[in-house]
Amino acid sequence: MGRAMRKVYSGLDLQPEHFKAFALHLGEALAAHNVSPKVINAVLDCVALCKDYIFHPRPVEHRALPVEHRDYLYSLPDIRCGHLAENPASKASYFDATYFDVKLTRLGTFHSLIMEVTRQGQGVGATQHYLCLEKVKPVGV
Amino acid sequence: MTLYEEVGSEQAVEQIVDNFYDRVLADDTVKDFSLTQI
Repeated sequence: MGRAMRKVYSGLDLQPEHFKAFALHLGEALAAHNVSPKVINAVLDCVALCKDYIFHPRPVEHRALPVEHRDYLYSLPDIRCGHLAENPASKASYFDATYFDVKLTRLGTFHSLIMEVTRQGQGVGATQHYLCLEKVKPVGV
Repeated sequence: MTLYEEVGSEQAVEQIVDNFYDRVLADDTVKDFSLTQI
């Protein structure tokens, strides 16, 4: 659990067209269950954020999707992507970091569809968490 | 409200994920990824 997204996908030869197909199927599945276009777009925005990170690893700007309840998360990210920055007012240095942990596949004996993005840095005040969609279900149940 | 909550109930999310997997497994270009153990 909690392995980093790039590490998870590194052995799978995942290409951008595959990622696009996953996003397409996810969008269609959401639409088939009458999820509003606004929410679908928000979910796919989250997924697009993952794509950027998988294929072009670098700090990226999160899009605000705050999650208040964290008790259903069961893994912790272990990628930290960020840079040292300086507060222009205080001149104090801080680490502006973004954490990612994404699983969009079968995970052991569970199905899961999880994306977690954590942003930590100046201006945020404290670590914030972002979750796209999560579902865990034992295979065969 | 979280995206998870906006999508609907736990049952709704479960149905959506099942629907998503059905679509992935029917897609020859990506079905192997969905079966990968990580």
